Amino acid sequence: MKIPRLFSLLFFCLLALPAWQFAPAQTLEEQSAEAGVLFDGEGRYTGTAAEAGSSAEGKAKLLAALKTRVKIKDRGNPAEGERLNAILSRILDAPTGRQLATEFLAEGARAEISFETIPDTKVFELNGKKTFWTSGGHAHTAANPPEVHLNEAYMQARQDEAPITMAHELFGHTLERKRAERYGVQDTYIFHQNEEANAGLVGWTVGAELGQKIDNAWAWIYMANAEDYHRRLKTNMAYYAGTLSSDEMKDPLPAYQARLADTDKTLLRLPLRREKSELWLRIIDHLIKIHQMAEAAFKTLLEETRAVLDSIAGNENRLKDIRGYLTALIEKCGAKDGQSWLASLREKADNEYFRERARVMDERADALGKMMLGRTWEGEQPPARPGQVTWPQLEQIWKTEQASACGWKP
Amino acid sequence: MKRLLILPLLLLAAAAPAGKEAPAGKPMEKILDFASIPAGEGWTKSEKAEQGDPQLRQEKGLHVITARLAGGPASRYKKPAEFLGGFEARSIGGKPAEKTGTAVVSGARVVLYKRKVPGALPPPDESGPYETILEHFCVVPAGKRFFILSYSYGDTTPDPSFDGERAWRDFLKAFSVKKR
Repeated sequence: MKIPRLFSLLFFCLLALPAWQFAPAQTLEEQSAEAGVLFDGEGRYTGTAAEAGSSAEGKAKLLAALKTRVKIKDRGNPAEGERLNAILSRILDAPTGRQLATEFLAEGARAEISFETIPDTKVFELNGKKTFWTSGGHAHTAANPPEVHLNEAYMQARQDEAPITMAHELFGHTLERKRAERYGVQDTYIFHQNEEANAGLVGWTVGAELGQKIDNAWAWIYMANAEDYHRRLKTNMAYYAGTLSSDEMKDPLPAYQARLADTDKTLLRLPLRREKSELWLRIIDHLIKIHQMAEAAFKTLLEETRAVLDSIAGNENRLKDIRGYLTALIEKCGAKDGQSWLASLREKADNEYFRERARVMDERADALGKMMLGRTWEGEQPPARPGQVTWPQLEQIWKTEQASACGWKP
Repeated sequence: MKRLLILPLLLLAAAAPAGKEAPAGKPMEKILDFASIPAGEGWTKSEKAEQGDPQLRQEKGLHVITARLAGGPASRYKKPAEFLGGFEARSIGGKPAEKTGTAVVSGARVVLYKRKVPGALPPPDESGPYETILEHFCVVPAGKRFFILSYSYGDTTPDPSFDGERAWRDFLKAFSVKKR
């Protein structure tokens, strides 16, 4: 996930700066020289991912080399340092993890990794397993060195998933920033829609190679229809609403205008969603009070409907954030000081970096698809309350009611 | 046994990368040249390419009925079996879509399916619960090509004011492939 903090920075840069200026990217030679100083006396890692996968010693060497470029920060708690070390080590059990670790070293990338307190995180038990539902982590790729923060809740829950999140942030986002610098597109790649999709593929692939169930709905959407994945992501958070395909980078304004219109359309649906939920509450109330149906049989539907009503304000805020960001981008496209940014997007849209990224992503998706279809699973649902009316049953009851002589209108 | 032998081939074909952008060049075919597609009152229509296939999308609130012509030169799927073995014909988790019955569509008896697809989702870095909605679909032969027809309602709370599934059944009855 590309962080809210980065998003805020991006947002203010867009509004405040006539054009972004970044320090020129270091050459690979310069990076190599700098990297040499950081190595622990053994010199630069010269092994391959295949060698690292062939023996425990090979993997240990790769891990040692990786740790010369990835600083583990334990926040004064050695147990956190040990856990982060174990997470890095576990990533290297996956062939893709080893491959990307060698690419991280070859690219001369660096990072600091640590746990972080993510606001509102609560660890709780679900079906006998500890879990949490807030962000798993994020990467501050523009920091020097880049920082990767994992949710400290991984110390207590979902430990098996921590390597997936770390691979996503460290190799999906942080390594990619370094690559983008090499191609000279560090100021534009964050506007490309594949920035998040690539990190997603990295994490899902490492997870699948480690034998884990791919239960991230985004992964299933991407594999079914990548266009649908991008469409959905653009209405999920403001940062993603500003991302573009290579073609759209050449002329972003129509894309942003179309998305703004879609966002407005979605905003207009929220009052209808509220009205519909309130209508069902009135129907249920009528069935209980007038037709003497057991109130207890509607408990689950009542809870679901009230949860939908409670979620509407949050959805409205999220859509308004998206609307505000798109409006700012549209203004930027028309403003004098936005022209250099538009020119930069246009000029770099055909950069080899984006073509190469798409090629690698296609290969990764191909391999991941075979793993996902070779190991399918059925959704785990919490056990349903006995004796509850379901939505199809309620719809049928409502149809019968409308056809009856009752005559009540909600 | 035969099915067991075919399955790995289908899996390989179906697992082909989904991310490729459709090649530019030829203008998109008009789907209405290939079928008479009924339009209900109050539904809005839009045409676009979907994974290389021409598609007509009709919407009424959150009710969506689509007709997509697959098997063409730019299609992800050359044969119905490739589509039915792939991700787009499976529920989240990979379970194949459930058969719900059959219907006669444009003179052919076809299998009707339903599958669970994600509805509203948390941001990609969060693991919270997500909603699943049902998508109903069927595959209708059209010469060397085939139509994928689908219906979904984009919310977990049903619409008390409109029977979308009835509209779907009416759509299937009226849909007709054109002879070419």
